[in-house]
Amino acid sequence: MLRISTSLLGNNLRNYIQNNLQRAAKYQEQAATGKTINRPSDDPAQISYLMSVNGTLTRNEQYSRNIEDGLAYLNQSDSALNTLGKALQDAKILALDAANGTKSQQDREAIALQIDKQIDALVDLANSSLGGKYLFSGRKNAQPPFYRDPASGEVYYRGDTNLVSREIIFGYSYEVVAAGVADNYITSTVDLSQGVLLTDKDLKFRVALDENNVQEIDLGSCTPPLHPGLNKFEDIKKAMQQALDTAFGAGTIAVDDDAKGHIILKANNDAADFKVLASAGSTGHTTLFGGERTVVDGVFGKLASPSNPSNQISDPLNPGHPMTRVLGGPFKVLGDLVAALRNGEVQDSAAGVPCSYLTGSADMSGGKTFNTDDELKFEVALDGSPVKIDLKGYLPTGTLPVTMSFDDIKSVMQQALTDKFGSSISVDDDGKGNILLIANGNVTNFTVSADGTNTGYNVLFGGVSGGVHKGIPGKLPNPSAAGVAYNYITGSKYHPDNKVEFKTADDLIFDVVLNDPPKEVRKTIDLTDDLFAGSFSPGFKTMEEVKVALRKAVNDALQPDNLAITVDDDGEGHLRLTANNNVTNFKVLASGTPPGNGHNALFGGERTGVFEKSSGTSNPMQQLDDAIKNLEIAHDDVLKHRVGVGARTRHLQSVQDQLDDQEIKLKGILVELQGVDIAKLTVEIAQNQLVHNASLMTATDLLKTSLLNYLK
Amino acid sequence: MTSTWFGLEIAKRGTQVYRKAMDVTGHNISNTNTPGYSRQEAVISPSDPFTRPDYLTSMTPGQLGTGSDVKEVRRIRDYYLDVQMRDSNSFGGYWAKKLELAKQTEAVFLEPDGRGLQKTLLEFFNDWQNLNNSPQDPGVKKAVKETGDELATIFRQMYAQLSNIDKSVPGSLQYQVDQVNLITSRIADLSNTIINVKGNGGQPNDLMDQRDLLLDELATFGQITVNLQDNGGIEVRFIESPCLLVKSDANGKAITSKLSLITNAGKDGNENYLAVNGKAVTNLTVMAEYFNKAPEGAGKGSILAQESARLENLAVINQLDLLAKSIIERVNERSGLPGPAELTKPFSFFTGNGAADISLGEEVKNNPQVIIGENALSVAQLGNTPIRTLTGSADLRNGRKFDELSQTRFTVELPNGNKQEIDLYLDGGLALGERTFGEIKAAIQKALDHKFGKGEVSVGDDGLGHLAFTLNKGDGILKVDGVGSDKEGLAFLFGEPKSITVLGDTFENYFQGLVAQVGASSKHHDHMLENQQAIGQQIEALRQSVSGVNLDEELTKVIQYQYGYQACARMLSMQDEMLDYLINRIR
Repeated sequence: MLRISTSLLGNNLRNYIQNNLQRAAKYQEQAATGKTINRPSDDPAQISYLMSVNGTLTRNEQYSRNIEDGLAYLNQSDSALNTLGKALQDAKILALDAANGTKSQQDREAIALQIDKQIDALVDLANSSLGGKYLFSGRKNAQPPFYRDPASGEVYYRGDTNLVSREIIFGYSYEVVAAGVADNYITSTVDLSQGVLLTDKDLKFRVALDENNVQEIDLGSCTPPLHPGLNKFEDIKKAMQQALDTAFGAGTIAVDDDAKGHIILKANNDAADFKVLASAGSTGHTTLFGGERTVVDGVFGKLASPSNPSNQISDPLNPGHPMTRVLGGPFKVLGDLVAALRNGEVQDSAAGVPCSYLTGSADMSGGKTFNTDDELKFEVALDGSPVKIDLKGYLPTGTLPVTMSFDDIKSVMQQALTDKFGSSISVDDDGKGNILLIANGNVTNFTVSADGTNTGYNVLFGGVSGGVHKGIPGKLPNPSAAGVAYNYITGSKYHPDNKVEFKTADDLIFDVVLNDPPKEVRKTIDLTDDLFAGSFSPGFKTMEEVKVALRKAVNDALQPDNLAITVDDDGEGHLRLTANNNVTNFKVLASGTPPGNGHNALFGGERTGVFEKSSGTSNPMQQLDDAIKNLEIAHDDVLKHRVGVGARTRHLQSVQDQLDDQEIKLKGILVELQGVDIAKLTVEIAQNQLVHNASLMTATDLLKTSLLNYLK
Repeated sequence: MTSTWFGLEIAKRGTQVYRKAMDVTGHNISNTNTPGYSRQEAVISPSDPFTRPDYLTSMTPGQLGTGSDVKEVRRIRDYYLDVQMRDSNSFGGYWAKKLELAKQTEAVFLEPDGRGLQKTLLEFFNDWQNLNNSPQDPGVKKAVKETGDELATIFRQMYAQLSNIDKSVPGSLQYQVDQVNLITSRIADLSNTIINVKGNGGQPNDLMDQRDLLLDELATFGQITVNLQDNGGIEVRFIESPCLLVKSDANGKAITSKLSLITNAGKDGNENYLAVNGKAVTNLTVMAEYFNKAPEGAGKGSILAQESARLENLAVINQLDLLAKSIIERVNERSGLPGPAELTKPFSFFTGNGAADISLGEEVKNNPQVIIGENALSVAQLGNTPIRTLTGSADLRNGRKFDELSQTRFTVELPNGNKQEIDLYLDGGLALGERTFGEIKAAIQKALDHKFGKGEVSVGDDGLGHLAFTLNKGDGILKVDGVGSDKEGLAFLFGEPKSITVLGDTFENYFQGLVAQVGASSKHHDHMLENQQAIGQQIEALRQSVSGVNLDEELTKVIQYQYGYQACARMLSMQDEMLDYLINRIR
């Protein structure tokens, strides 16, 4: 048995008081803060869990903000796309209206002007912003991205092609806006990061840069070849890069991946129709790319190649920085429409002499019978007072009535006008039986009106009483281009910096073909003499040198057959051959003997001539129909983008719901981890109080009770 | 035959004995609450008897009692418990000091609720997310700059506070050493007095109590070994040192040796030594390091604890520094990726080498517009990325053609200092000639597995053809360097020497680990101290049960002695009556 000393009792009391007070202080802190963990040492085992829950909560708040922001973006994009769709539909209604044969060229011009204004509206739409951030400008979104050059009417872009993305969940970010403009990228949808098991059939597919340049890609025949069996992602990419280099030339298409195992093919922005296609009997396109794939254009088209200076202008907002032209998309569709509407007129946007022109509205295509003198008199004004014109003195026969063909009428009118105005006014027709008068030079007041009560104005121009046909300012095309259809071959091979590279002697040899058999003319062209003076050495030649050599070589070869080809380039680094439009089956082919590679080196492959009509062609309605068709396609594209935006919206909303859910759960965990159970705490405090009281009471009693009290 | 006054003599002795015993009891009562006091006891025993022949025992001498006598005043004390107590005090002192410093370290971390580093770190990366949402918004760029500044400030502040703790250690150690010297000199003084008193046959009970109390106190500073000598002298050994702090000189007189502190000692100038009489005898740093990892778990005494806490604090500083360093490196790398032409002016978001001097780069501070919004997502994603990768800058996508063996050699140094030369030809089985990226990676992986053990370092790439080494575990600096003067293999495979801080975890998780460690250390020390205090109380109770004064007991003795005294006095008066009768009645 332990002896108990008096001071031990005292010491013990002191210890117990200290213990109880410690506990009381702890309870006090917990009650005051409502938390059981107030410093790391309160619960070291849970502290890092607690902190990571806190961290997750803070991060989720940010994710929520990101999603909110992303949803705002998506909603704004959606409404912009909606408006865009409507604008295209409006344009279509206008265009259909214009296509109505009863509309006069003036009406069409008015409609063209309206549609032209809609392009401006579209540019404004493409410059939609949200809180000062421009939606369709990539990540460079502080300034309106699209700009319509008033001089040329072309649309230019100053943003970038990075898509704005929001991280909405740990480590994953998603694009929250449809691309305004896009690069020529094709992205696979198959995750190959773990490698893939390939069969023979999986090694082949086709890649097209445009309709004339489609190449078969065989991964099994490149060096080193890919073998059937399990192949690593790296090896597949490497083989693909080599196969594409062989097929299209090095540097044409780059193989990359998105770090998530999806292959990305990157082509230069010049490629007009970049595609991955199926090859007969093979499944490579599916296995490697998830099916046939095309470039996903941005809502507003795609960027022209920025490496070509002709695609760039200086940015008026940021002097000294270039902006790049936008190709395709709704701008082009509407632009084409405007061009088609104006096409019936003697107008060429590219070049020409300034003029004023007016079109009659009386149909004289079947000729006309003139019964009275009145029907031959009208007035024409050319920057001065009206001059009376009487066709009577120019008629082939001096007596009325007289019946004339349309051509005769035109020639008579031309004679009459030449007498009065010299060569200032030419008489033509609009291809639909209406008279067309063109006043050359900068004419401001060009009118045709009635001469008093004479009816010549009504008969010849379809005018009405008191009315006047006013000239519209325009441009007179160069005579050589007017109304002629051309037969073009434009190479798809891009020659940067207007320099053409020749690697081997074969690059100098190719065939040209004109006309169908039996009139077919096929000539082998060898540039070695003309370009290299007979001895080839690999290197670069300027575009000019090549064109001069080509002109000489081709035309020397064709001369015996009385044929000629114009050699030119399109100003954007591609060679162009133009034949007369009565040439059929115009082609550039590989040469058989001697074997040549010139078709690849110069034109990017075997090419076929395209009939392309310069403005002023004889068939404006066809062009209008095409433009309307393209309008429908563009409208469909907008809808596709809208569907994408809608799907992304739903995705973000579901993640948002998930985050909300998670927040509730995490907060629950937080309460469990560090929340104080007030009821329990109250009971514990009361107990502690009780214990403290009891210990004080017992101790004082014990210390008080002493033998001393009983001593006398 | 006894003398006539024999009875009186016995009675007189009785009264004297009881008075003396009463005095001792009184001494006990008045020292009931004196710290370190051991109760004393008057040892009463019969005085030497008369020896005389007796009728019954005619042939042997008989014995006649002569009453009682106080032989000595005894100090009731258990030496074994003293040793136990000192041991307990040593442990207690150790944990108390460690707790004190751990609490100071913990106070630097304002977690979980305060506006500590974690909150700012999270906000910093959140602001980058906001910047990604509005990549060109000058307001958001400003916000990124402000949080960056706040983050840097918090780092510097935490670093300053932690290093203040570190700087306070030598002063505190010196104070404790001074205390030790004070105590030992008092022990020596007391011992000399005790030796004198003992020499004169005295009983220096109270002086010995005082000396024991001082020894208890000394034990809290460090473990002591005590050797008591018969003459009352003492030898005291401090912290297992071969030198005695208190010992006897040639004349048997107690003398002290002066304990002193040598700071900034050792080969790196970062160790603390204890010296006796100017001669370094104890390497505190090595000893503290040992006890930080020792199976027995605890050192003894507050001096060692102070050193041990200093090392723990240094480890915390180190980790904080690594974190800051890593943030500087990675944020600078990601935020400085090439941006649009007008912004590609090179800039560093943070400058500095670690937590001590991390601050915003000048360009960012003066003009937040230089921050490249297009990089925001990449920086923001750092917040979720485990920091354990070193990336080369040579593009190997198209493979390499190895012409010489020197192109296959480089060195890798792990954070734990394990540095190995890697030879892809010998260790990785890579033959010379044209090799694909895949083959190179496989060879490096094989070589690294061979040199560092399987799974320590994994080899991959960053998707852009650069080699990426990922460390399985550990934090510190991961390095690759070249072999030979031209470092050909390094240039071939990595581009340039690379050295980067790895944490083995995300910034946030790494910091959480650090906080948990700081908290756990504080909590652990608190628990250990509590245990030790309980043990101390238990030993104190035992010691009190032996040496403590119980008033009731003493009062009982008072009553006993009072009655004893009364009885003796009565005896005296009885004797007086007897003698009165004999002397005055017989005529």
